[in-house]
Amino acid sequence: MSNKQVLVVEDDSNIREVLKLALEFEGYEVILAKNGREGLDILPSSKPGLILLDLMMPVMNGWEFVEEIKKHPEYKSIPIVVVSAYSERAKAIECNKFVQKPLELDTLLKAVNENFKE
Amino acid sequence: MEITEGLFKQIIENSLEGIWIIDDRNESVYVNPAMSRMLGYSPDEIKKTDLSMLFKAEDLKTLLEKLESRKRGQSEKHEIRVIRKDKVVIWTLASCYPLFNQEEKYIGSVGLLIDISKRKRSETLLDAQRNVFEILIRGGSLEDALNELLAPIEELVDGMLGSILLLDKEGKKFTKGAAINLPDAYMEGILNEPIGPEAGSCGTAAFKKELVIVSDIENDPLWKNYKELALSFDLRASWSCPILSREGKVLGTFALYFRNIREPTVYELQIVKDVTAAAALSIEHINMLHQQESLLKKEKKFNQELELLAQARKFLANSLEYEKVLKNIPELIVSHFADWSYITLSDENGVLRALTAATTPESKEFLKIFEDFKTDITSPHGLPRALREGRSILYAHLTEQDFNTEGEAWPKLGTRDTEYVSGIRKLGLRSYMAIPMIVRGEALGGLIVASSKEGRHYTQSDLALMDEIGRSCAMAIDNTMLYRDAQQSIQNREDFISVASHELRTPLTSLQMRVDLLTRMMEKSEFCEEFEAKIRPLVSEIRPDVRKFTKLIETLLDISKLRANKLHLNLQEMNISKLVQEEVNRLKPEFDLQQTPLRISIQEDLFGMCDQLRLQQVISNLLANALKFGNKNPVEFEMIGNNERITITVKDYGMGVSSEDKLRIFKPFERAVSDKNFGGLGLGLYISQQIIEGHGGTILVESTLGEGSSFIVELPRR
Repeated sequence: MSNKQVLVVEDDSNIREVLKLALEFEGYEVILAKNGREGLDILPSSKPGLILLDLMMPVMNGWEFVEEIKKHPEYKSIPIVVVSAYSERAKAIECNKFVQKPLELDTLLKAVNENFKE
Repeated sequence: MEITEGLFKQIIENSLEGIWIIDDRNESVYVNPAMSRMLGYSPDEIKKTDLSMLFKAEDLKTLLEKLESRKRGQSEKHEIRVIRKDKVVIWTLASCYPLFNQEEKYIGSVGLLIDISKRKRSETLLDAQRNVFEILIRGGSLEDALNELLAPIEELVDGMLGSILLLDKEGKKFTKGAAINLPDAYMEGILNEPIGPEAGSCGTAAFKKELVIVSDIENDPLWKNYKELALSFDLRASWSCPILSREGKVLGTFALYFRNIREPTVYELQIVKDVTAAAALSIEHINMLHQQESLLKKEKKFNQELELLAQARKFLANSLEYEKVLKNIPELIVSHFADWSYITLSDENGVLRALTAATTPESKEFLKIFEDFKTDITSPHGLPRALREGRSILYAHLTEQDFNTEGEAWPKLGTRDTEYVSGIRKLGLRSYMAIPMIVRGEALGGLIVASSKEGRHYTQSDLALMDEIGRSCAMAIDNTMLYRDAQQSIQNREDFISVASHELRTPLTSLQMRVDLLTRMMEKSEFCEEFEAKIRPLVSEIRPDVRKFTKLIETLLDISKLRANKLHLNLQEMNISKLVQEEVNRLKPEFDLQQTPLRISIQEDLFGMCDQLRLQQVISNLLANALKFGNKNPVEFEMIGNNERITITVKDYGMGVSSEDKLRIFKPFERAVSDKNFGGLGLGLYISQQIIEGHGGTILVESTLGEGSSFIVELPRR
């Protein structure tokens, strides 16, 4: 098991699945969460070097998730790459990189590779 | 030569002037033959005739005063009337001086008289004519004017009672007339009697177009039907002359009545002729005035109609809410020429419902009965009839009978509701018009225009005007409906675009990523020969197609955001030079691929406020257009800036844009060339323009057809 873990928080199962395939092909271990809430629940039992975050999600959205993360000293330094179509509001979020939907895989993987923190 | 008494006598006897000697007792003692001829008496008869028989009463008084002054030695010259033996009055100019004997005692006076009747007649006629025209010009009636003509003539011909009768338009009977001293009852008796070959003097004169002299009414066959009437007023003689227009049409007659049996003298015949001519002029003049007046009236009415029509059209063109603008129409019509007016519109079930009504203040009761008013479409009259027959209907004169609702009877209205009918009747409806509003065979409703004013009955020309207004109303309604349909269609299209693009986006994102991943995986692996030869090329074709598809969906999404005013720009201060350079670099390979040279000149480090992604979208759009329409000629990209603005120019040497297309290409779904030549939705420039304008900038095109285009973007550096 590689310790290059990436947490993907995304509500659309199709996209979640293709992200998992792509990241695994790049050599990452992928943990999946359907929304911000699940993401937070999963964090204590994992140790991701990067979070790939969607914004528009049910239960807990991306903005709320980031707010929670930044409160935790052990999580707040995890790099976050935001993936969203909502460029205007997405800019307001505290993150390392913003990737505009529709996703180009090359762009996304480049963002992950560049921001991943061991 | 010796001047003898006999010689004097010879001179006096042969003088053409009348010489008249009156003694100190005011008795005639001598008249010469000329005087005798003038008066129609023999010299002896004159000597025996009292002065009161020879002068009119009012003149006699003056004469006696003058004879008194003669005694004091006074001479003078004056005009005076003299009554001839045949009762004809003549005007004379008299030069008078006193006669004294050797003891200087007054013994009488001598007068030298000249007959000036002819001159006097001309003067009187001229004066009369002048007065007549003055009256006509001041707007007086023809009757007044003709009376003014008659009055002096009656003085000119002693004992004459004059009348001027006017023929009706058809020339069949006398309808109007002027008379001063003829009894009214007699005039009433002859007015409205038909003209004919034996219809008294006037009727016959008008019929035969010739002068008719009846010197003895009682025994003349022409008067057999009217002599009792005439004799009952003691009228014994009547001469009548037709008054002819310049075209020879009989306008009327001028008649002279006498209470004694009489033949006209030559002098009197001349008067008849002169008066008739003056009367003809007066009548023609007033007819002309009437014609002018009616022309003026017509013109005024026409102008008013035009104004009404113009106002109505202005109202109707003003707004696309027909319910609102139609409300102005009845009000407008009432202000011009109706007591009340209303519009009814057909609802979805075909029921004609009252939309709006207007009334004059006097007829405001109408609004009360109008409240519950419903048109009965089964009515054989009114608006239902107008709608059935597809034409405007005029009810010019309504009578009591037209309001009958008893039994099977239908009133001439769009309803037989007794309350409504009796209300309308009480308001005194006299005349009305029912104007249908029909568009493409569909009955939309109608307009009613009603008059209760005395004497105001609508005519065909009013109907034509209202017809025009009705048509304008129908058009306004139709236009509004078409507009609303069009608006609805646009909304539907936009809703569809919005929903479709959102729904497509998620699966498309995943599809694109899968294709990307597939491509990536294939790049890092080797497969069997068959795969490499057949499958790999096939799979690698998928990626650009999906890219295009994605781009298309993004464009549609932008459009629906723009249409819903939801395009928010995220403006931030940044190095615009750098982000533009990045975008140009990203697109450069595409130019290389299509072997189109791209010359780039970007001034470095121009900072400003912008939305990075949106601005890059604009650059990408402009460069993609240049590539698409540039005919593979070099494309020049330039970016320069000063303190105030940044200017980006994308210049190609392709087909260019015609001047009429320069504005059009910035509209959604527009393209300067037909769809067949180039793909795409034609939204790129529209979106680019919206983005640039959102930045407070401008985008425009300079182009010569066939030589290429320059798209120039100016951004303010705030």
